[in-house]
Amino acid sequence: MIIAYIISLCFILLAVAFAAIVTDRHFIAIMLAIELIFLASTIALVSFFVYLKNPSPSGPMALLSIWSVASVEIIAVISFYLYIRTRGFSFDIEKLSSMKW
Amino acid sequence: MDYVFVIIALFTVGSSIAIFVEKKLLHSVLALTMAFLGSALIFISLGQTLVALLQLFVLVGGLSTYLIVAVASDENKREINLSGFFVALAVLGIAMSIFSQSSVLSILYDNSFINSMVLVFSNYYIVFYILVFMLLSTTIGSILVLRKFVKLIV
Repeated sequence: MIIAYIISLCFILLAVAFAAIVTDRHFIAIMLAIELIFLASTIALVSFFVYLKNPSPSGPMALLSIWSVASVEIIAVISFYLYIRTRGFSFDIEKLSSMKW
Repeated sequence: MDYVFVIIALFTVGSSIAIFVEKKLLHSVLALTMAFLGSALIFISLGQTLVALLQLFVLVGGLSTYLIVAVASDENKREINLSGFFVALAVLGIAMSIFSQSSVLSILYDNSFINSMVLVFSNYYIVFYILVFMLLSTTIGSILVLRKFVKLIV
């Protein structure tokens, strides 16, 4: 397998996620798109790590940091989801300016 | 081997597109779970079974389950904007045109970019401490938000 195939796959995932961020107005959908970007970066990182001749321990460290950021993002998504839903606000990203303490 | 990768890649890309085509949010989260599963299959095809197992445990088994439970009761249907297809094509064209340059390919195969990135990471490890602090503060903030409003849900 050539690494160019995997990089192309990551570009496709990035393009889909970027299109969703630009066009979708739903808050949760935008966060799912960001999660998809994390997924593409994870695939790219692991493929680079596999094809390196002398892999460094920094590769798994970067992978763990990507996983941790993705995990915290999902925690933030769930908490904001519950917050918005209990308050009865709209999930439209253009109306979220009304979400004030 | 290549045919297997093509099938897995089509499965992953189809799942990622389904995230934004589905109108119900629950179906979108299920599609994201399938995309996570596809990435785990890609890791297996690369020979990284441990990473695939961790991907299954952390993202597919844990976080996707939380997301599904969180949005399971949502009946709101969102509007689908198909103009994103053209945005995706534009982004993909720009990315592939940059990637197809011979200089970029030579950098990839020489691994000089990765080596320089590794040097930067090892020299500026304080960035990772800041990252960990940011993650911890985000988690604590989310728990505080949930603690305040969880009584209204249960």
